[in-house]
Amino acid sequence: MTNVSQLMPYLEGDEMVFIQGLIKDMTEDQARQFATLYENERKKPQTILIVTLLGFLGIAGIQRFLLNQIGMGLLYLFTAGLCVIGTIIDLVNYKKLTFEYNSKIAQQVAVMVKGSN
Amino acid sequence: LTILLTKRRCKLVSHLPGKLINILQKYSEPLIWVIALLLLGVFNPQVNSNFSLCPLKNIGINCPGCGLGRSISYALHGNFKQSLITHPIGIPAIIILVHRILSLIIYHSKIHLKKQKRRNSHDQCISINALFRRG
Repeated sequence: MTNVSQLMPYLEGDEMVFIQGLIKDMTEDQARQFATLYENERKKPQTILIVTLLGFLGIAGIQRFLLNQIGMGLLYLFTAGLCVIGTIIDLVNYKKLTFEYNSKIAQQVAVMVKGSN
Repeated sequence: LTILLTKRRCKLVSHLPGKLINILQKYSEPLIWVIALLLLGVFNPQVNSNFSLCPLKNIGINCPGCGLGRSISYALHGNFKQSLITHPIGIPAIIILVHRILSLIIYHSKIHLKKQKRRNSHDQCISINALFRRG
């Protein structure tokens, strides 16, 4: 039984609850391995926010590429972020977009860590 | 007893808008795309007006995304030729948006299942955590 707040103090809110649920049936070593791998793989909400702001300068949709949504990225890129409206939508829920990506990554990493030991 | 019942009813009513707002926040992105596609499907693309939603066009810059809405609308009405003329990305855009909506719905349903499972084992988790801290 390990605590997230000790291993990954940078997490907050929904993400912390989600990771706690993933970690709770791991051993101490597995949890530590999970923490290092997940820290490398996850995207920070701040980077997504900054990259989304680039959309106002004309290069829209990089946030969607970073979050592994290639189709949406292309659509944003070729239409200037759906006429800036899509960029504003992403600006409003950048945290939710990042959490969606991070939770998928966390599940993959958890499966990997449990499988390797 | 009646007082109890009314109190309970009050609680239920007071919880309702909170839950609604929660759902709206949770599903905001798929809801936006679904509403946008529905509106484009319902309205007639041939109505000409000088009003434009696009902030770039209103400023005066030539916007590469303008015409996409009309193009999607034409495609949803079955007029594919006109759709391609108005904006070539219109038909791919529909496919991409539908794919995004479906993947969001799948993602949310999976997360919901996980949360329910966790709630069942949550009490055990808390008690074990408390023991761990004491030790």
